[in-house]
Amino acid sequence: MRVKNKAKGLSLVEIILSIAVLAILSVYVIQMFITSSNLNHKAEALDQSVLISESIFESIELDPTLTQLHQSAAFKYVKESVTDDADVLEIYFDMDWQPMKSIQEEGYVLYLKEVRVQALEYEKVDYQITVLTLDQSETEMLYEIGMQKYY
Amino acid sequence: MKSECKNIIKPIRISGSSSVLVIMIMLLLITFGVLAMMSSYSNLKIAQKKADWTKDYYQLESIAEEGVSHFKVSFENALAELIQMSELDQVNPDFLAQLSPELSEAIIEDPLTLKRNVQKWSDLEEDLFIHILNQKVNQQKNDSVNISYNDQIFDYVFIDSETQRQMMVSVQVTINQNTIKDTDYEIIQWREVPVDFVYEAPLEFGDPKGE
Repeated sequence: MRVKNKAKGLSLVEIILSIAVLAILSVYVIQMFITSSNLNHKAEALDQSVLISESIFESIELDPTLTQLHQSAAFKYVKESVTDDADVLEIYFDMDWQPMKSIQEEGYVLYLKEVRVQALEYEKVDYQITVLTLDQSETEMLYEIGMQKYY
Repeated sequence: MKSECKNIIKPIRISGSSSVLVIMIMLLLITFGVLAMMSSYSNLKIAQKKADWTKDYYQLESIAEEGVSHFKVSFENALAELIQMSELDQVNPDFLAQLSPELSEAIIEDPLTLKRNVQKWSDLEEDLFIHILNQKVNQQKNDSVNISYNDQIFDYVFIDSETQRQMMVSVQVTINQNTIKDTDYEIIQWREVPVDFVYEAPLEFGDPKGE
């Protein structure tokens, strides 16, 4: 007796259709993974900027003359500038948070602004840290924190 | 013939199985994608929370720093006033009314000879200094700071009105009875007051005995 076998495997049309559907839906899935990676990257950058800001403040509390701070590894390539009302320290970091002399393509920049106000009975020093993300085209604020000390 | 036909095993039809495979792969990828997204998002949220917490902490600490600097000023002014009184050989009459009744009576009893009596003056000096300091310190009291005094220790509780977080600072005054000029203070405690965690709805525990 002859058995008619109609199922001969996958047809070419089926394979092409499957790959097409897979390709179209993969775009969204890959996008999901890319978004996830970006979020992770942003979280890490935020954590790092908090950590660095915190260590700067703690160092200032220990040594208000900033001598100890200038000896730290992060302040290796620090740039100092003086504006009308404040002393500004500028530090550049690469994407791995290693201090750099200048920003190449993308990275982070940390500004430590020190404003001194002389009152009658004490001196107030306002420290402000701002961390920015520098990209080729745009600059985005990552973190900002402030602290006041009275001497 | 009919029974023979029944015994023939029909081959599994595999047409359409590629679609099933694609659906399975996509489900798997989407599941992992969503899990990765959720994990990354919660990661960012916790990082943001820590960043805000740190920012608020330093804001609270700045409030405490300001309060302590006011204490320092009050302390120096109180000491200067006391030294001035001591040098002038008399107690400022303005203070008489403000002093504690016992102290007030002691001064009223013998205002002129009080300073000459070394022992009395020495006893009085300590109370007087604390009294003046207390007066000056209490002028700082407002909605964002609570101050209490007990046994030469000033307890400050600074409250950040924005976050309701509290910082406790204890300052101990060490009075040198021999030379009042050497009287000093020391910060013995500087810590954040932990906020009690309260559940929105009370927890209902089952009866452990099962009754």
